[in-house]
Amino acid sequence: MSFRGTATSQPGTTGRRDEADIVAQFRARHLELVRLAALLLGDSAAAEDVVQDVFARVWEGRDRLAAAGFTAAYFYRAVVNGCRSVRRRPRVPSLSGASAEAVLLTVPEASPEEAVLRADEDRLVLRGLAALPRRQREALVLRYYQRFSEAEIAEAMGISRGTVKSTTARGLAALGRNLRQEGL
Amino acid sequence: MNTDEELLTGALDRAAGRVTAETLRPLAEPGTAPSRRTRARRAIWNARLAPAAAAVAVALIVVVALFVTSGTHQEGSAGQPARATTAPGRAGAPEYYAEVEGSKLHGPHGPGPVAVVVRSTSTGAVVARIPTPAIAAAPKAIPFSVAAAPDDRTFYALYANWGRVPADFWIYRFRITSSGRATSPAAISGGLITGQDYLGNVGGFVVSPDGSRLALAVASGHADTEQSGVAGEILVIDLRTGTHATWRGGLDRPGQVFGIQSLSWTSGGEALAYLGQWCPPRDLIYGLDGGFVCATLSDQQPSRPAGTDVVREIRVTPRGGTLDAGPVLRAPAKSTDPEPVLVDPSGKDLITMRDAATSGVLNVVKVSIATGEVTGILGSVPRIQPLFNADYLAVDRTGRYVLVWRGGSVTSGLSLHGWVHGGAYHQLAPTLSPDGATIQMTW
Repeated sequence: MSFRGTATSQPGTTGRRDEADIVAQFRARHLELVRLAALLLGDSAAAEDVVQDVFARVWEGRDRLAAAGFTAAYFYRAVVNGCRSVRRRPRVPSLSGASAEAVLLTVPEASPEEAVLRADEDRLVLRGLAALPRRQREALVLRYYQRFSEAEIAEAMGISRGTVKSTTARGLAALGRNLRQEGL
Repeated sequence: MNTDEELLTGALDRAAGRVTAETLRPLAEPGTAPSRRTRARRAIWNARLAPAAAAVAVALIVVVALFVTSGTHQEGSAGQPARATTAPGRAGAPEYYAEVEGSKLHGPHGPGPVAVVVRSTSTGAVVARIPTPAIAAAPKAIPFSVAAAPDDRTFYALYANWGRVPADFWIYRFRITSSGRATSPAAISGGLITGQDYLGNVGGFVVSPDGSRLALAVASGHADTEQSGVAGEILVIDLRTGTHATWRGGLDRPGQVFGIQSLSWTSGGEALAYLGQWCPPRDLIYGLDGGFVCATLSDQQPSRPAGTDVVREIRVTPRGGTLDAGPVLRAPAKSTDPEPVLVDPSGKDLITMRDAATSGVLNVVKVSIATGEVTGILGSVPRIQPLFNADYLAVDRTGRYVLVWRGGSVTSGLSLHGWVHGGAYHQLAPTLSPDGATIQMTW
């Protein structure tokens, strides 16, 4: 497992420093974890809530995590699971495609022309991604945003490496089909 | 990576980049009451709840693109930036700063011992001295630059095979643990950079605000020592994949060399600002300290800046591009002393040094990119007259704490070596002698 920031505690060597280090590692990944959750959920406010909830669990269980030989992979798996829980609770608002386009067009770019083209392209790609089944979407976000290896994705999603491979391949193929339909 | 993968990577990176450290709520430890903002947002969320499956199905079409700009999310950006990734208990200036320290830097026989050292900001004491890794291809490698990740505990050191032209760089990562010990430096993926014809041109070495990328100013492409062909480039390494993206060309001027220094990221990590310099090859100085410097020199006399400066920005994409692709932040003008220019994390101001009204004093100031007006003074520092035109600024993530280094005084040999915040200058300990000096520093 090669998540950036690796295990800092080994069984039998735990103590207050290790517990503090777990909390520090989480804080160091705060922005990264919120971004991951935001991509999975589609909402930054809900993403912050998920990450805050995970942090609270890490805080409360830091001694247990330290004793168990903590690795940073735990954070990612907890955030992915947290996002799944949110999705099971229908908190995501319904918004029109028109407003989505308006939002994307506000992304600053080097020139107005480029901004329009890039925003339009991104909108179609993200729409294609959002149309995929949850597991394929998670695998693609972890692979192409988080740049995780198959082993890291497997750890974060709680599935086997073989399933990661097939899920990623199917997701990418389906995304390609979606993009062709959108004219990309 | 095929086109679909590239499209997906780019779209995800741009979407994620719109969540920035400045807009995040600080993580609250259990027992801490949620902020008013949180409660307000949750109320709004509840009001928006849509019928279950249908709402989710519709929302999934667009949500990935929408997450960053909800009105409630913007409320928090007006307050103090959230120091979301700080270590527990830390407030104010970064806890550590890292330096490349050496001795006998300007002697005819090359440098003396040079090492990466991490020091405590509050005491100046050495927290860790990082052993130079054994690099089989470069038994005489020495550190040139060090960069700090936003967690204040992870650092990157760049080593070069001193004396070789073209030269190679190797980048290693180490970390300060919670117990204050340093991990052994480990080579990063993508950290070998070959064919560097200009060994001293490491005028910028900076980690992105989210810690995922590393940018450095380099100059590559020539197999001899001829300086007339020096052309600065910006290299960005994706620390997750090791892939490189390069920005080169577009700013060449006949009969001039071009170099880059003072790299800095905007807070969202979307853009890099840089100071570009043109000058005749005869005015190019290179050495261990200061990166690319254009200046006129005479023995034991103060140097004078030479050439022309420009401050520009590039949008950081996986594909790289040309150096002129982004906007001009400060128009080309004759180089002045001192020269370093950083972009404030807000992206609205530049951070640089200006002569103060009081003689013998320099102000570290913020200057509006839009108007060119000074918008704030971060602190005042003594104006020493350096032997070389070598200056260095490094800004923390908040843009409020700035390290200041100015090369050895022509009279005393001592460097200016401290940091500014809130109008005050803090001299960093220990005071270094001419034979034992800071080469580069960061936090």
